[in-house]
Amino acid sequence: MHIRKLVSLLLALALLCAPFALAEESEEPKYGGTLVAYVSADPMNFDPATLTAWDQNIVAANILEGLVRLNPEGTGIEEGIAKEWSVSEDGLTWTFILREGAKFHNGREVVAQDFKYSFERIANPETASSAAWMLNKLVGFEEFQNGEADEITGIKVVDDYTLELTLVEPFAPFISMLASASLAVVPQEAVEEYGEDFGLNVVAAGPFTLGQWNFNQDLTINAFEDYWGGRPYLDAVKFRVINDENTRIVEFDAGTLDIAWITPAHYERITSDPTYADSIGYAYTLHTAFLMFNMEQEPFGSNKALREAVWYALDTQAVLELLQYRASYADRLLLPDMLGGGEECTESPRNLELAKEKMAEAGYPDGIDEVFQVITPAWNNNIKILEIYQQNLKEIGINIEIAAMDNTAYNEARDNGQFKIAWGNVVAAYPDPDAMVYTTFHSSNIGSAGNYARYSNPEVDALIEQARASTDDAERDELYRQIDDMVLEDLPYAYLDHNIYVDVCQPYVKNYCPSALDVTTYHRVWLDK
Amino acid sequence: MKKERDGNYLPKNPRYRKMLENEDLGSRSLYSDAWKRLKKDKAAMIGLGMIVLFVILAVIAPLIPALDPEAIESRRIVDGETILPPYPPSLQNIMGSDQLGRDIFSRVLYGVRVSLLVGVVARGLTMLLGVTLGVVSAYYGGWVDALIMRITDIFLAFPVMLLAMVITLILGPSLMTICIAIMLVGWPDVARLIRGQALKLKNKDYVRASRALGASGLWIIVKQILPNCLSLIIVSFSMGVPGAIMYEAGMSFFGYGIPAPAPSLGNMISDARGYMTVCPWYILFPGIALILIVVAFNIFGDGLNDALDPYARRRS
Amino acid sequence: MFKYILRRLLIMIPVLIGLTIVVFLLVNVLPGDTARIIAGDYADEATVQSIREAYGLDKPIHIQYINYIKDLLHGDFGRSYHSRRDIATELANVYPKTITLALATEVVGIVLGVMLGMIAAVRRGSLVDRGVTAFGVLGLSIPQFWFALILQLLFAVTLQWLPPSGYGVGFDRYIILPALTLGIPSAGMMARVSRSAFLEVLPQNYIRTTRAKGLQERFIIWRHTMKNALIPILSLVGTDISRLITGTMIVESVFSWPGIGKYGYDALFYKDMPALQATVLVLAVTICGVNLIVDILYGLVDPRVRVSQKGGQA
Repeated sequence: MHIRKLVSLLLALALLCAPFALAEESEEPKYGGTLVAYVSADPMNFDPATLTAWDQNIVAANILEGLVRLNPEGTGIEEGIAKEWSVSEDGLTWTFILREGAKFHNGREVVAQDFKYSFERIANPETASSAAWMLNKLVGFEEFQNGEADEITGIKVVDDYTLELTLVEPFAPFISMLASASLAVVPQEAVEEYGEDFGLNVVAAGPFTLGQWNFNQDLTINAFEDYWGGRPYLDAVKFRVINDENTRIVEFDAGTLDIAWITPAHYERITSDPTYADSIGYAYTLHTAFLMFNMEQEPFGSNKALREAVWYALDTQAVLELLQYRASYADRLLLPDMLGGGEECTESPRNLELAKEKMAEAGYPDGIDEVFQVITPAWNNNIKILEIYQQNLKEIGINIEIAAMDNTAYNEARDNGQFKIAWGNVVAAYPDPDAMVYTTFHSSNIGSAGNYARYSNPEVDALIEQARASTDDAERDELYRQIDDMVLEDLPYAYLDHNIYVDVCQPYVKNYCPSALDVTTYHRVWLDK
Repeated sequence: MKKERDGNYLPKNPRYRKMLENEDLGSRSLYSDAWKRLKKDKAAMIGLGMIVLFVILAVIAPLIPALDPEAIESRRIVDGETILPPYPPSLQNIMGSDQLGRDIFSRVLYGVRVSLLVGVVARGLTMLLGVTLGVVSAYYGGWVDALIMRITDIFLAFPVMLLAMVITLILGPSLMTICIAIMLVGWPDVARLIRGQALKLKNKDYVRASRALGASGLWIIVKQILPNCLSLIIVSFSMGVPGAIMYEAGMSFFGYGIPAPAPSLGNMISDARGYMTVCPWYILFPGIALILIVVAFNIFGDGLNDALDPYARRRS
Repeated sequence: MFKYILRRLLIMIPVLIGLTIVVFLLVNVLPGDTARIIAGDYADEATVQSIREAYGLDKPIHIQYINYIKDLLHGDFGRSYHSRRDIATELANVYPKTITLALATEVVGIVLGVMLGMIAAVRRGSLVDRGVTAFGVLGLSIPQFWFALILQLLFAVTLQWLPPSGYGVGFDRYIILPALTLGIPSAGMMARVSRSAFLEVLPQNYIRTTRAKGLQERFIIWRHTMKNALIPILSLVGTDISRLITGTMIVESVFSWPGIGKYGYDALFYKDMPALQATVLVLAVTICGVNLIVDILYGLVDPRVRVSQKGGQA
C-alpha cells in the first residue's frame, strides 16, 4: 500500500486548519530579505544526536532534513530527501526512493549510504543520543546496541537511491517518526572532521545553512542555494535569543522582531488592530492538558464517581478566558482533526449540580477532609489556571493545595506516582495519534514514559497494540476513537484543554504558518517589502 | 547551682569589676542614651513610624473579610458591559485587580506580611548562625577559628543569587526554604563582624581575668562577650532586614521564592510583567510597596547605627 | 608587596578546593536524575542507561569528583550536558560581556555617585544635600528587577528612545538601560559613602590652609580632598564590582544581555551540572581576584595599610 495516501490524508487534515493558517497564495512570492525571529534560549548545538530542547528543534527543522519532513502546519509529513516510499503487505519492510540531486550543504550528493550512517550513528550507544529509541523497532537494533553486531541489519542500502528499512513488527507511526530532526541525514566526512564540535558547524541537507552565530545573542541561518526544492525565498532568518515572552511583544511593537507569540495581556489589542488582520496565525497544537488521578491510590483510584465529580466541577470557560482563548475545550485525549479524533468540543463540561450529585454518589456528600497536594510545574499560567480550579473544587468540598515545582522535581514526583491528583499534559512527539494514545494509556508506559495516571486496562492495551500494527488508516481511525471512548469510561484523566499557538507577524511577512508541533519551517515564507 | 558557681568566678579585683561596668556597652544607660539620640533623628523616626504602620496593616489585614487576596472574579459587569480582568483601579479595587480579578490592594497587604515575616525571620536566622560561629571562632581561636574563617571565605566567594537558587531547588520552595537560603547567603558577613568585635573583647582585662579565674568558655561568651556585642548585633540585624526582603522578592520574581498561590510582592511583580504595557498600575503598586518597606528599614537602620555608636560623628 | 600578593594567592587555593567540593555536592543533591534530564522527555530506559554510562554518572560520587578535579587541573571544564559544547569556550564568550556591563555600571556609579556626594558635602545641610541623601537611601532600596522593568517601560516602550533588549558589541546603546538599572543604585550608595568621606576630610586644617592661600575652591576639592576620600570609596567600588559581576543575573535576563549571569541561570534551569560548576568557579575566582586587587590598591593609596601588611608578614 502506498503511504502517499496517508500523506494526502494528513494533508487533507492539515487543510482543515488552513482557514486559520496564513494563506497568501494569490500574490507572487518575492525573493530576498532577512526575517527576524526568536528563540527563548541559545539553541547551543544542531547535532541531530543531541536535539532535545524546543529552541534547538525550532531552528534545526530548517537546517536538517531526513527522508521525510513535517509539513509547515506541523499536522503531518511531506516528502523530504525521499521522493516516494511504500510499505510491504506485511507492514514490515519500508522502501524509500531517494531523489537524485539532493545535496548536502558541502555540495556532495545525498545517497542511501548516508542514511545508513546517520541512523547507525544515532543508535550507537557511544553517541548516547536521546533519539535512539525512535529506531528500536528496526531489525538488528538490539544486537547493534549490545555490540553483538557492527551494523543494523534492518537498514539495507539497495543502491544509491534506494533504502530499505525492515521492522520487527508492523508499526504505522514509524513514517511520522522519520520526520524528526533527530533522524536527519548528515555527511560522515563532516561529522568526522568536526568531531565533538559537529553540532556547532553542522552540515546537513535542509533548506538553510548555518550562518553567523553569536552565542546567547543571535543566530542566522542562510538560504541554501542548492536545496533540492529550490532555494528558500528568504535570504536569511535571524533568530534572536529573547527569553521573556513579554519582552518579545515589546520588541515586536518596536519593529525589531518580525514574529512573536501573543501573550494574553496583548491578545485583545493585537487581534483588534486592523494592521494585523491578515498577520495572525493559529496552530492547534497536538497537546492535551488534564488533571490526572493516581489510579493506584485512594480515594480517586477506585472511585469513578469521585473522579467524575472533579471533572464536572471544573470551570474551563474561566480558564480559556484567562488564556484569551489561546486554548480550546478538551473532552477527550485526541484533537478533533487527528486520526481517531471526535467531535469538536465547544463548551466546558462544567455542571455543578451533577458534580455535587456525583460527590454524594461517591460517598462524600459533605466533601472530603483531606487536602490534596496538586503537583504542577511552576509555569506562571499553570498556577493561575489551578487557582481557578482550586476555587471550583472548593465548591464541591474538595480542597486542593497547589504544589508548584521546578520542572525536574515535578517530573520525578509525577513519574513515580507521588501524587493523588496532579496537573499533567501530553505533547505529541510526532504527528500521529499513537504519540499521544500509546504513551498516555498503555500500561507498559506507566511512569516516566507517559502513563502518569498509572492507568491499566488490558482491553485498552490490546486495542492500542492492534492500532499500532495496522497500516490501514480507516481501521486506525476507528480503533483510536474506540480507545479514547473506552478510557473516557474509566476517566483516569480529567481533560482540560488543548493549546493553541497564536502568533502575530509583521504585515510584510507572507505565508508564515505557526506549526502544531511548534517547529516552524521558514522555506516558504517571504517578505513583501 | 550553676549560676552560683558562675557568680563566684566573677573577677574579684574591684578594679576589674569597675572596668567591666565602665566598658559594658550593654548597660542600661547606653540604650537609654541611644533611644534619646534616636528620638531626635527625624528620618529614623519616620522610618520607625512606617515600619509600625506596615506591621499594623499586616496584622489587621486578615481580620478584615473584605480584604480577600484569593477571591477570584472571572467576569464583571460594568455599565451593562461584561469586562474581563485585570480591572482598572476603581472604588471596588482601589489598586485595580490582577488577571484573575483578585484585588491588588489586598494582595499587596498580604505581600507586605510575607515580606516582613521573611525579613525578620531570615535575618534572625542569619544573625543566629553568624553570631554563634563568629563568637566561637573568635573565642576558641586556633584550628576552630581557621576552619570557620575558611568556610566564610568559601561562602563569601559564592555568587549569592545562584547559591540561594540552588538551595531552593534542593529543599523545595517554601517560606522556610527561602529563609534558610537567605541565612546561608548572609551569615559569613555577620560571623566576621562579630568575630572582629569578640576578638577585641577577648583581650580585655576582665575577660582575661575571668578566664584566669577559671570561668568556662560558655559563661564568658554568654555573660561577657555577647552582651558587649549586643549593640553591634542590633545594628547588624536592622541593617540586614532590607537585604533579606529584597532577596525574597528577587527570588520570588524568578519563581524560586514563595510558592506562587501565596501573594508575595516579588510574585506579583512577576505576574504583572506581562501586563506592564497594558495596565501599568498592576506593576506599579507592588513595586512601590516594596520600596517603601525597604526604605523604612534602611533609614531606621541608619538612625539606629548612629544612635548606638557613641563615637559616631553626627553627620547630618 | 610581592610576598603579600603571593601569600594571598596561596590562601585562595584551599578556598577554591573547598568551593569545588561544596559546589559539587550541592549540584549532586539537586533533584532529578541527570541522565534522564540529558536524555529528554521521550527517551526510553535503555537510552537513559547508555547515557548514564557514557557520562560516567553510574560511578560513585567521590570517583566522579576526582575525575572532575583531574579534568579541571588540565584546564578542562568539560562539556555542557545541555549544549554539549566546550564550557571553557562558552564562558570565554559570555564572561567579557558581563565585565563590560559591570564596567559601564561602575562608570555610571562612580561618576554620578562621587559627583553627587561631593556636591552634597560642599553644600552640607542644603536642600541639595537632603536630595542626595534621599537618593542614596532610594538607591539602596529599589529592587533591581522592578527598576529594570520600569526603565524598560519608560525608555523602550513609552518613549521608544532605546532598544528594549539585546546586545551590541562594546558600549553600544544596548548597554544604556542595563547599565542604568545597575548603575543608579550603585550611584546612590557611592553618593552616601563619598559624601561622608568628603565630610570627614573637608574641615581638616590643611584644606583650610590651602583655601587661605587663595586657591580656587574647586581646585582644593579636587587636589586635596580626592586622595583622602578615596579609601572608603575604593573599598565600596571593590565590593560593588564583585556584587555586580555576580549579581547581574536579574538584569541580564530582563534585557537579554548574553552574559555570565544569564548563562548560570540557564545552567541551573537545565540542571547542566558541569556548566553550573564552571560558572560558580569562575565567578568565585573573580570575587577573590577583585578582593585581592582592592587590597593591593588600598596599600598603594594608604601607607598605613602597607605598614600593617608588612607587619602581617613578619
